[in-house]
Amino acid sequence: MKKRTLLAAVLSLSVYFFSFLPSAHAIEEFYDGKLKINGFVREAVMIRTQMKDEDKQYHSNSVNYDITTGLLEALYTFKEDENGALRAYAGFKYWWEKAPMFDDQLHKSIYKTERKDYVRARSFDDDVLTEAYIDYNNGPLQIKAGKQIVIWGQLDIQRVADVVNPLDIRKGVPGVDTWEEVKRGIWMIRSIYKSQLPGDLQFEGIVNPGDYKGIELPYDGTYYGPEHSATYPFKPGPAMGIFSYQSQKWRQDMPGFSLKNYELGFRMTGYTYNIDWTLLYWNARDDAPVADPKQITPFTLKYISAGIFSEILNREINPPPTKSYGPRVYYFKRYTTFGGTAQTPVKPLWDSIWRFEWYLEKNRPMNQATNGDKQSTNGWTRRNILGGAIACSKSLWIPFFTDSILANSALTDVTLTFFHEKIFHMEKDLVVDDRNHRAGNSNADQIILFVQQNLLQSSFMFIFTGNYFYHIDKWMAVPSLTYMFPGKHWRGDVGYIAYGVGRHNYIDRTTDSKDSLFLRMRYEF
Amino acid sequence: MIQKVLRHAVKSWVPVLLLLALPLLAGAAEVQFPVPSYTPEELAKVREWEKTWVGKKVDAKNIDQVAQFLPEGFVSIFKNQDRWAAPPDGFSFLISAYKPAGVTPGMIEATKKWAPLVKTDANGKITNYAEIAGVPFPSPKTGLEVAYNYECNTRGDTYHSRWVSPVINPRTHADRLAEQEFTEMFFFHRVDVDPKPAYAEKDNSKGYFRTELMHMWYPPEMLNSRLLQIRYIDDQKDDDSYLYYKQFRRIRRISTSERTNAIDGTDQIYDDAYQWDSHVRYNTYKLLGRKDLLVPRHTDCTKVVRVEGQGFPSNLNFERCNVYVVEATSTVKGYIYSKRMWYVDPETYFITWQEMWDKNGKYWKIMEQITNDEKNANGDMRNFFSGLLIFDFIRDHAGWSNQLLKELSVPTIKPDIFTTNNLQKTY
Repeated sequence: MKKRTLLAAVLSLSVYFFSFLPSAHAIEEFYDGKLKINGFVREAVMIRTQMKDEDKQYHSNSVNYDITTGLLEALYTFKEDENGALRAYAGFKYWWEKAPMFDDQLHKSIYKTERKDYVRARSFDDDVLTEAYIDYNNGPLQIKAGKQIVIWGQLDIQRVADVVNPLDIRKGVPGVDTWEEVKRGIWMIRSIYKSQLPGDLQFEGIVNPGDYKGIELPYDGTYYGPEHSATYPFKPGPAMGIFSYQSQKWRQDMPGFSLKNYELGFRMTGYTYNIDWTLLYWNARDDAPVADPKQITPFTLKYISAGIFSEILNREINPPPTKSYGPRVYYFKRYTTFGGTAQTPVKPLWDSIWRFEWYLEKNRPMNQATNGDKQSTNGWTRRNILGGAIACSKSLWIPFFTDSILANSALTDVTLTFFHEKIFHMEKDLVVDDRNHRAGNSNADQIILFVQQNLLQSSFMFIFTGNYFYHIDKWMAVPSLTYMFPGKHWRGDVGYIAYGVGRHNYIDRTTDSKDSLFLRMRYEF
Repeated sequence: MIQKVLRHAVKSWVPVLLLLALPLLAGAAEVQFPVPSYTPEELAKVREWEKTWVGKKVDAKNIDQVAQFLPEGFVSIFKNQDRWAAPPDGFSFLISAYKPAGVTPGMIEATKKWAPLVKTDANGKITNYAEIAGVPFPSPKTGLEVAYNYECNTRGDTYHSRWVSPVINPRTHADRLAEQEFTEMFFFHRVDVDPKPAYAEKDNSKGYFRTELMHMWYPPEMLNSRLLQIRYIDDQKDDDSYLYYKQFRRIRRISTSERTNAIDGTDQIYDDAYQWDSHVRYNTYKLLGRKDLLVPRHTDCTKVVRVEGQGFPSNLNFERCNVYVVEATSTVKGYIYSKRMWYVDPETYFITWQEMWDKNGKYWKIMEQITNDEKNANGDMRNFFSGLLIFDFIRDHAGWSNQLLKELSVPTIKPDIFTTNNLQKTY
């Protein structure tokens, strides 16, 4: 333990010293500016200030998360003139999560195969290569072919019209971390055509020939995952928690590359009556599965049986490897999304900017379970789901504060967002808690607040992000302060994440009693 | 027979045509542009003064000897150099001989053609604003006319430049670097790049007056973020602005009504860009007369000498110029400045110096626009930005911008650059 702690400390410090590169640019240029490289190295630490008694046995200390992340982007321009351009872009990331190295209990609580994938980037295509594409544009036509991350939508925490790429929330969350870190790139061909039609109409099409990628959930026992005490009901019990057991099967059942897994998207953008708007269509397999009611129970029973035997025999008994369970348990079904966005300034309403996003998920696959509790899944069905969010952004002048030395005339940026979702033909047995609905309730509502304040001539930046689901009494609040060190490269962040959770099944135990102080240091180049 | 008809036509119609053209010819003949800063008599006195001062370095020791040619705030900077993080040997500037600023043949031709045709209403507002080009009032009589002359300076019609702009905290001797690339284009009042004087309505159906694309290189978290700003020829229509924030890959429409917001932590507000970046109608103007000032109008900012945290860079070249003094007061209630004082170059109509007072009437900031003669794509010399300085006397802040021109008056800068689609281009 001490050796590991020392090693982790030495390596962390090495990252800092190694990061003192002599380069004085945010972007490095080579070959007469044809090749441009930039990126960052970041160290982030989460220190738990809250931990349930039953969770303490799985942690030797309060440092629940200590990750070094690096991102490198490279852009090469083959040709660029007034007719168009041909470029190649690639992004690479890597991480090293060190907390399990100096926390023995945490180390043991993460199942060994998952721990290996959690601590470091797993595969080149899935984890290291964020994007890699050729970008060709000629006049009004632009074509991008390769692995890409596409953002459709204007909002941050609540993704409404942002449907293309699945999330990877093993080590970060939207609105806090960059998209390269929390989204999974997909191999696709994307074309954009800017027409001469009235209203600045632009047409965009995406074809994914079959590179399916599902959502990457956080691992059992990790910072962003459910607490091991909630997923490990047997003592002694199997080596992994039940969530780990199920998510392994989830990953194995995920379809890989196949033409049957094609994805098609279309988006039209325009400008009418001072409103920037988009309309979109997306047809793809769901990022997350529905469970086969005929298989989920026998599959789960294997784990439960192993757990019972473990307790009876007072030693670890493991269920058979999930790969040996022949039938598929999880199905990633196809459905269609229609949606759109709009944004415009509205002078009569405090001279603010208003954004609106909506979606209609047609025939969204959903599980059915007794009283909506997914632990007793008994069927699956399809439903239409309509959702939308409206956001108001305004920069505020605050008396005595804005004109002070602290704010230096920088106005306070505030965005308030209201999100609502309705599931049509609701029934009490629909599993909806993963959509932040109360069981049996067809509606979900959320309020999101974002505040940003530049301080002391950009030496500091204060940001507050928070949300509240008032049907289920679940909320999150994250104030943070960033310090921009003099010079060009270094940034430091300190903040706090506070969670409020209304329910306590193991899925919600991803955030229950996990309030944490976070510290981050970044070197950007 | 035909010859008889022709002779008759010439005898009858030519005099009529000449009579009709006479006002035009007379008007054109009357327009003198550019108007030098000094009359010959005044220039002789300036040259006499220059015999003593040209080539001399002005520093803390001798600033009082030229204080009459400088804004009061600027003199105080030199007298309190420690407050502005001067290096051990202090900072200084050099005196150069006055020389006329570069004005392109296109600007001269447009002014001579259009100035006589400018129409104004009872309040002095130009009513045919969209039809003219060049300097509308070559010999301005009012502050509003000076303001219009400033606004009609299209900065070469198109340009592309890179600004290296540290935000300076002299107290801590620290810089925070901001670096941006600007591409700007005017759709109206064009004098050097076709189409002149304006884009046809069919090619500018939205009525853009001016568009600007800013690409950010520093600070690092803003790398490859871009800002698109659009101003309309209809001065009743608000500007439009779009920000593409690379880190989150969103194109956000941003409000342009908050013109008093500080630009990214600097001491400039949005209205302060280019010294004044909003419609003429937002101020009232009072022409207070002329003043002989030292201004940096032929300065190569790549030659300045500056250390980190230093508020004023050394090696700038200042020359005398008889500027217009205009007091500009915002018509917006509760505006951040109670007044601005503009010192406007009479040859280029750039605002060379600007002083600002806060809402309580306290002396707050000065801004100094540094220019130099640059060759445009047509081979003509034109006075253009080369740097900017700002000093905040209440908060003891400074800002410096070295503005490196890359392209000027090029026909390759076209409207399709200034689109939201272009904001997301791969960089």
